[in-house]
Amino acid sequence: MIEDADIRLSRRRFLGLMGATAAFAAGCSRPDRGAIVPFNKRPEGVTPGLADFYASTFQEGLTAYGVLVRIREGRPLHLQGNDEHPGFRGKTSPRAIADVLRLYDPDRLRRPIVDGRPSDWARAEARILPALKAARKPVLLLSGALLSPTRRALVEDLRKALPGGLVHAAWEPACGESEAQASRACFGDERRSRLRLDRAEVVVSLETDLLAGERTEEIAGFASKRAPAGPEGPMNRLYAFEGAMSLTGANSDHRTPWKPSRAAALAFALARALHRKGVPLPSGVDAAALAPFDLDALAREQGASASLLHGLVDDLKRAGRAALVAAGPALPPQAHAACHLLNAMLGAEGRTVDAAFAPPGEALAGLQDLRGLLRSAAAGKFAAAVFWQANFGYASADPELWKSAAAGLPLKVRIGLHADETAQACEAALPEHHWLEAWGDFEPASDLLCLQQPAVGPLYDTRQGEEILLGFARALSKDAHALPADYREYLQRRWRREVYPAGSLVPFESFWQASLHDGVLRRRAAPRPPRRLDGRAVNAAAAAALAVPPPPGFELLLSPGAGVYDGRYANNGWLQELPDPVTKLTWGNAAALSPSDAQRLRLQDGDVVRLEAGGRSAEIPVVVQPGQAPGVLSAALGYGRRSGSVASGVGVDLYPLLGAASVSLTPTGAREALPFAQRHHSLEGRDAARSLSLSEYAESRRKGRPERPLARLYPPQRFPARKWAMAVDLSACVGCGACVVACQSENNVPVVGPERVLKGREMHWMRIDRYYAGPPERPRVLLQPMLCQHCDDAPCESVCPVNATNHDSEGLNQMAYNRCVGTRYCSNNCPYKVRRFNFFEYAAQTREPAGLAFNPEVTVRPRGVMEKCTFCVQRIQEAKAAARAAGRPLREGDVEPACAAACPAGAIVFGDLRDPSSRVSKLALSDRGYRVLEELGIRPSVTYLADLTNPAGPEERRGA
Amino acid sequence: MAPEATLSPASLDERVLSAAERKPPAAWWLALAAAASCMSLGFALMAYTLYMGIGAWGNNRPVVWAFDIINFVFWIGIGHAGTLISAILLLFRARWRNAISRTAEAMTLFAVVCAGLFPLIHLGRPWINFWLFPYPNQRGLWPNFRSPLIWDVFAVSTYFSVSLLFWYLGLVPDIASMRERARPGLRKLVLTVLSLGWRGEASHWRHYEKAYLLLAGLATGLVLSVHSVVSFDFAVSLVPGWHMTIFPPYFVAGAIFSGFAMVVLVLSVVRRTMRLEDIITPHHLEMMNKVILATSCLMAYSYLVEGFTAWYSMNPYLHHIFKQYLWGTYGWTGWTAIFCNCLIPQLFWSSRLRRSAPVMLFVAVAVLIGMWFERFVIIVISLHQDFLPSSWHLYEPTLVDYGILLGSFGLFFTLVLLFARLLPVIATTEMKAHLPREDAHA
Amino acid sequence: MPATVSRRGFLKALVLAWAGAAAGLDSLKESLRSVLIPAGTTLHVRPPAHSVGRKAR
Repeated sequence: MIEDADIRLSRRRFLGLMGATAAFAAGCSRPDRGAIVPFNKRPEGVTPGLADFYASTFQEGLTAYGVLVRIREGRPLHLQGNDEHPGFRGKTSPRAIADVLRLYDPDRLRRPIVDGRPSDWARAEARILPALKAARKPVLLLSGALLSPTRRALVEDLRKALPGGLVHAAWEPACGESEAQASRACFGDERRSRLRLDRAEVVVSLETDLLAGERTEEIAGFASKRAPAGPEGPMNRLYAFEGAMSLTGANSDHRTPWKPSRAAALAFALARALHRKGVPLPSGVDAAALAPFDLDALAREQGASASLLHGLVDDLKRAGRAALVAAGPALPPQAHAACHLLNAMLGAEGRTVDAAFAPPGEALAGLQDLRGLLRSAAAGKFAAAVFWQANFGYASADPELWKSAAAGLPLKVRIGLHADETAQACEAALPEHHWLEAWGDFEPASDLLCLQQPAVGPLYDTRQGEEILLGFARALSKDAHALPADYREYLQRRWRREVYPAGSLVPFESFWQASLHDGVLRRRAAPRPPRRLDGRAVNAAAAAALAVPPPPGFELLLSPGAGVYDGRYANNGWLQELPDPVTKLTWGNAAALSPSDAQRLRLQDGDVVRLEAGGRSAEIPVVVQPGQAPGVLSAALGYGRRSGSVASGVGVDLYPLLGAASVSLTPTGAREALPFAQRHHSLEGRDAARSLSLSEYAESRRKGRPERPLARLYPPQRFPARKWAMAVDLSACVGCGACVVACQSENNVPVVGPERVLKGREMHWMRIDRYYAGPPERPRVLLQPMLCQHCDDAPCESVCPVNATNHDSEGLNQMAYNRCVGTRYCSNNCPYKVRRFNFFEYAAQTREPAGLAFNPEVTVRPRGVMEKCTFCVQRIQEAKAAARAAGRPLREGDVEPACAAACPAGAIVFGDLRDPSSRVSKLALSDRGYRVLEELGIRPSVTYLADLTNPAGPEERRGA
Repeated sequence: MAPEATLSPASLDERVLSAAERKPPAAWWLALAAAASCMSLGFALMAYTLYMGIGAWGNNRPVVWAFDIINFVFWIGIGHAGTLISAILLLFRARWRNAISRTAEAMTLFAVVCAGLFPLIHLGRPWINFWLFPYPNQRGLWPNFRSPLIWDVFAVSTYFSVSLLFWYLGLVPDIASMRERARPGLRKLVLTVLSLGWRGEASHWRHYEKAYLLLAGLATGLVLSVHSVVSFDFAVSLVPGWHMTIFPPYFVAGAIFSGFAMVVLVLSVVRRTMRLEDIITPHHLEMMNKVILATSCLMAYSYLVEGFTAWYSMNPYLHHIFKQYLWGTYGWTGWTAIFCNCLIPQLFWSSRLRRSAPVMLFVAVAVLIGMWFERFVIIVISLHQDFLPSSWHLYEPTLVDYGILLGSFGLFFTLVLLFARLLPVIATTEMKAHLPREDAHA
Repeated sequence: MPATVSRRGFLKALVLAWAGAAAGLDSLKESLRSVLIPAGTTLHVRPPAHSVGRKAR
């Protein structure tokens, strides 16, 4: 370089030196850290840039969801329903969609832990197998619901192999025992029936949550009868009687607050009233047993309208076989028995309540059974225990009993995904595959088998749970070669023996491949004989219902959390941040309290109270819930976990209070800020979300709507080729939130955490607004999915100083993330407030490997940039490219945004407005259709179809 | 107070210019320490915001603009007094402006500097702020000229450059005087460079007068246009409470109002501490207080018009938000604004109170508080409850917000203090031009 | 302080300053990037061995 002052610096030399400096500075950058490396040898079957799909099954409790896994570059990214599944037909539940994140959970166990130290399989086996071989007493196997004939066979093989025998109990904390008990008593078997809402015209819900997000089939069935062709109907009618506000109540035509302890009485009273109107009682049922249940007296007692109840009886009588009465898992067996009685009387049993193809019953243990087993364990009755799937250490809710059981068991093995509360007590924690890495089959119905196959090779040094048990059986059995080492082999063998049709012309390999391809196998199965109601059981139930004394204190309804379920998903940030569909609370639970009780006790949202029952207590904040029955508290289970980096300490563990008939409530004087996703609940007289009754709809149709064209200053936008638009049917939408999670999964929407939700910085592109209208004791609930409306004259576009948001020629409002400087003016000018700002570098806070769940087709936004719904432009582009490659024009149905694809009710319809044959262009012209804030003249592309309700009779009875 | 007749050019030089030549008193150092530490705190917190992100502030959805834009509008408003005094009063040939114009112009400049920081730091990605400026680039991208924020960029940068030129031009003869009085050394070198070789020749004066008048003409338009453009940030949007045609004149009146209050505040202190009570006389202050009174009445009128419009419009959103201004969660800010802006300045109807130093200090501080809260009312209250009730959310500022606000005051007063000790606070040249001549021709 | 600065000396200083700034800014950018964007993962994702997929749609 420059050595001395007396060099003559010519211009050429000077420029040369400048250039060298530039190269020096640029070239001396730190070398790329190898984050992106192209394939040297491409793995077979992986085409970079194209997505692959695998069909599989996601089991949650007693439900097997058929799903389709979307893979990019070998990574599962997005789950949607399996379209080959006859019941789900391409839709699935919000928790299923969110479970892909659990595959990449940073807290997953990556190798076995033996005696508290990270270890390997060899050492784990060396620790466990000798103890099992030497076992003289039985081994205790506690698992979740098996739901799989192959798993059942495996447990049998393990039982045969173990020298001391096996005691197996399956427990699902979220499935109550009442239903099974009532089935056993009334029908003599534990078949679980399918609720066929697609066949029901009158539905009565007693504290069920028929329309919760997990009930994909029921939501689809309900929605299919919810959107009538015209004001004359036909349309179904839903009556809800519940103590806690649920989505079922929110979507019902008549919702009556009703104490859960009196639900059985209500059902028996309805049966009695029906009988008096001429409907015969099934044989064995004693009319005298029903005599004490008087509808009018009950109505007075619960503050309900007697005329409504009598009208309900008429409706039921009229509907007959098309009626459906259902009771929820939290209610006692008497209530379920009463519903069985009603369904039998109406002829619904066998039609809307369909148990013809129920799978072979799986006896689930109840809480008392479980505690009994734990007590036996404490007494040293078992040689060892294997805990598989369910989190017993957390949900058994008796820490003393758990500790003493652990002490009484010489060897404890945990097979699970995390080092959770159960694993913390065990000598060996064996990490299992996530179901996306695993093989299996499930039998949700006798005519349906669902297959589970890996969508990705195992990420860590884990083994499938079934394979671990198979390994034990193999090591312990005398004939080492009878059992294969591989669970896939075991599964195939069983299929070859028992499933593959004898005398089939198709070779087994093709049969197997075809079944895996479809993900489901429909079989011919003989329908089981219809269930016969045992009259004496009903009489006993009626007597039990009568003898129930009114409990002191508050009645407590505990149900699994909408996101966390029984607690197993508490480490999933998407589900923690998914607002509860009714309270809109995120990151925690709260006890819902009726407005009158709150006023009486002078409690507000966030005041912490102490709930006590039977020597156990919990301190939990309250939320004032419009529509809650006075004297009833409700809250979600699954919180207050003690392990998991995301789950720890979020919310309050209410399992200790599970099973308590009543609790006492004492205000503690403390206050907690509750992270609600939505804080204001009244529509303030505005008409953003509209709901009409059928008669009002008919009236408005007759009168016609005044067409007041909005003035324009500028010529209208032109969309020469296509105009993308959306229609959202509020009548079909139940508010389950599947669209919210699907959008988050598809578009890399970040999770922000509770402190930021408190500040109002949540990032969901799609949100479901929930409004209450009317008096707080009997509110009407309006649910409205709200997303970017892609306005033709978008107000956000003109105010962005750097042109980061524009309109494209197909009607989309675009967002150029790399141009956005973050002035946030666009958010001010968006009247729908659907724009989300990255206040922090959220992507940097992603703990690896959760970053693998990001969809590579969507930018991950940096700090300081605004983002919002794009109508899944990446899917639009993908469909256009595919159509171009195939040499054909884009067709209706080629493009489905994540939200539309996920909605089980089919409430979201997307398509080309310029195509007159498309569904969306017809819906946009519907006389139920309107646009939110249309008077602003910004021309949104989303048409909402007003919610329709079908109340019985004149308006006075509405909401009564 | 001695009349102007006792002033002579020499005494003017001595009293005004010597302030820049003497060592500052201890009180000045104390004040500078206080202001500079507030300023450093502000800068540290701005650096923290740059490091962490806008999430360090209290901004949320829907209140995405809060203290950042409130402070921006506040400081830009304060700058308007200087330009009005310097430029408009020059064109109206109001003699009373001479004693106060220099300080007022300096304050304009410093206020614009403070204001200009906020659009920069409020960006989500401030390192690419230059995209807001139109420059040719190989991607062919231009900013969006339809956006009021770009109009702001032009307005504020024009305002800054014109004010800087105007102020500097006026300073040149005074710097030349200081140069003549200075002893040889670094200070004399700097003054020599800054005085651009001014020697007081007739041709210099001719150029000076022309340029000065030209810039005054340009600056005059700016008094009305700059804050109108800033008001367009709000008026052009569709937010209820913002979308009103009264905003441009309302904002300009408010700017002049707050600007004069700040000038009265600073000058009251300057004239006491630098012993210039006979040059900056109570008469000057009284004239400014009359302007404050007049603009206070304009503010009251604007509030009434807003209320009337809200009622008359039959627009439920506007109706609702106006009620929130006074009776919502933040209603206390609305009442503070009304009290401080409309009621307290009414004290100035009394001529005795207009000339009373403690009273005018009290009124000036009240007006500044009231005008800051008025911006809070306009921005935060309008945003926190708009069209869809599901998005309604409260806003809570963080310590970083308060610290940056404090820091902006620190920056302003640091610059004022430095100005007071480095440059002549009175336009001695102009004053000399209006002194009675020694040969007794008025 | 020298009375004048020679043109050569000035250019020398300018070039050195430019080079220093370029290198300094570059390493500042790198260090900021390491703060803002986490390092990549070394987890290997392998496709499943025996599963049967569907054609990409």
